[in-house]
Amino acid sequence: MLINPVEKDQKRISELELATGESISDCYQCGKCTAGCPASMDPAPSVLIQFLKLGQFELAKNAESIWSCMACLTCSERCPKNVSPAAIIEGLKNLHLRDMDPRVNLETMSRDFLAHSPQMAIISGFRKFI
Amino acid sequence: MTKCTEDNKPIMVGDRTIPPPDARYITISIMGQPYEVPETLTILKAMEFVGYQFKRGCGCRGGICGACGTFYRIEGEHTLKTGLACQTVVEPGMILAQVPFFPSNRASELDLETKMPADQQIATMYPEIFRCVGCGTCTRTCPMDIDVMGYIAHFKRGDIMGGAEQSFDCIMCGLCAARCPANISQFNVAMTARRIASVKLTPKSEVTAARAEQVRSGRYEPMLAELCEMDKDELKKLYVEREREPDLAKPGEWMPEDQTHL
Amino acid sequence: MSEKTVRVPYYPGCTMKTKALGFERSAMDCAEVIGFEMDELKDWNCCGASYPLTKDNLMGLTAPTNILVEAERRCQKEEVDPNLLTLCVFCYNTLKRTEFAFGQDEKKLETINAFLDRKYEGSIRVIHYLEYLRDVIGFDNLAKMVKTDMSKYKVAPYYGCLLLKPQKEIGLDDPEDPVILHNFLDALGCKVIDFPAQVDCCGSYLVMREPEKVSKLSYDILADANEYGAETLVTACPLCQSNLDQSQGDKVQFADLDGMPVLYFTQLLAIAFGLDTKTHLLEEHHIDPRPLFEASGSSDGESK
Repeated sequence: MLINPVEKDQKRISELELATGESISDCYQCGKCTAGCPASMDPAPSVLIQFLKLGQFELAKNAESIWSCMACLTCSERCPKNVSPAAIIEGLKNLHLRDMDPRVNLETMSRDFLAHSPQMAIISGFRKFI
Repeated sequence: MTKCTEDNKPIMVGDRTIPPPDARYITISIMGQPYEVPETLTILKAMEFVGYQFKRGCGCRGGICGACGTFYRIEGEHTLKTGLACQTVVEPGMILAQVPFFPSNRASELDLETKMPADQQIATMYPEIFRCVGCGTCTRTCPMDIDVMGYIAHFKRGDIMGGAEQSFDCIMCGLCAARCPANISQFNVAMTARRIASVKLTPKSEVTAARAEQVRSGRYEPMLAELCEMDKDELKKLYVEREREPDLAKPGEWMPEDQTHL
Repeated sequence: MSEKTVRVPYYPGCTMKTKALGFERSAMDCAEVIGFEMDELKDWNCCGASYPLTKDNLMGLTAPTNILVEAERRCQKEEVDPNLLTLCVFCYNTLKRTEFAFGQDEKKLETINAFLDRKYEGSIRVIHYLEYLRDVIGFDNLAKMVKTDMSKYKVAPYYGCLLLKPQKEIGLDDPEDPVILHNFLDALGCKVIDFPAQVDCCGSYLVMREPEKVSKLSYDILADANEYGAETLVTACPLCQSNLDQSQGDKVQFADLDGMPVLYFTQLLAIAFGLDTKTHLLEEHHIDPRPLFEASGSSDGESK
């Protein structure tokens, strides 16, 4: 991952802030979100936010780790600056989903999973991955 | 046969279009093109009136086959309305387009023998039902006033029988699927559910099974053979002179005089 | 308890009708003993299971609003307190946050009302079964109804995430150091095992894409509870129950851990009340809790 200090994508970052209702510049990188993250995301939530703070929109958006977030809200709950990393991550995921770039394929996914999982797992999974 | 109104516009009469003699002309727009048509016509007849000929997108003309689903809007109104072209009467300023067919997800290979429970069968065949966001657009779209979102909700919670019953009036016009933001083919899911429900969830009727057994045993073969022997006139005579159950007979009370075939 | 049974409007949610049927049945049986009736809404749709975290996603609010409208109409018609009882934690979280969002932002409510062509006035208060037991019935009153000696069972309360978070909107208990399930188990007379992983995430819907990760997280939670001496875990969330219970089928991950039953808190309550648990589907759990509690269950699956 290379940070490009010249190309900053401030416009799309502002759009992301507007969509999520979060203020990215409020983050002061204490790392409490990362410390508490049960998904052991890499890049971690605080790193993703640092990317955004540095104007590196594509790095944050294309990080594979955003798909490991399970919206447990531990990060959002612990943030001393009232930023919700979970919301920002969901905002990034939505950008992929709106570009018709889903992470789950209905045709090929396990029929066994569909038959035997609680509906709430299927429904929330579809909300987050398709 | 044509006849003319006061302002000399021809109106088709006969088996197709019979507007009242004093019918006024109104302007509607069919796929962006304005036409003058007599009021009181249905959309289907109005389209034929202006020259459309239907090979698809028209079936029973009685509001039950679902072939002539139509979207329309009254000019200046924000609401998108739906109706069956054979049942909806044209209104001034109507802008319309027929959707005779909508690409949807049919259950081409439905296994009715499988041991899999009905709810799991629906969940695996149509996982997209779990993408329903509950916006209710389908319910508002349905020209048959079915609570489409309601039956999808039943399927999601595994109540296949409930959903099958709730969707029973569906005529498969496909307009719900045309509007669904979650790409669900509601009417196909419902049809599949009704088929599964009828095989797996409906109590079996003993009377029907007994009668089917009678048929299989060849009990009716001689009667059929007898009919096959007859010529056309004999058949006609038999048909015309047949005993009929009176229309208002109470169920189970009437019996024919000739009971040889019972 | 009381002469007249209180009827509380109840929203079950999809999972409660299939995979968590035992949860609903045990809750209903217990409610009968306690003296209230869970009165299921007539027309209800799925709540959407996960509350949309981004501000621009209003579509995610339509489903819960439909439910709130239904509940509001019901309460107004029958002139009962505008409470909506929930059991499933996902439903509780989604409905409660929707209720909160409308309280904060009237514009949002107006937009959704206009879109749905329905009118939600904002009167419904979404409550969880646990909340009802704590605030309306009272845990001390609950304790008086317990028939079985539960003191020999070492039970670990597992909260998970969405029952408590976000605290600002849910406000049921402290998200880091909750006590509601502890107090509930105390009232039952169980030996409560306080363990650090009680609020750790089980992996939730990640089971769709990364089941091995869910397996690992579930192992961490169960191993932690085991280390602190728990024999069984109770939870309020059907997805936590499913993840924690079903993951134990992963023999590689769980090689050094004996099977630990994971129960719904109402199933335990039914056992404490000395109720017949035949219909509570204990036998459908991957790790069968019946030997531990010497409880009954239907082995022929007839009850389903």
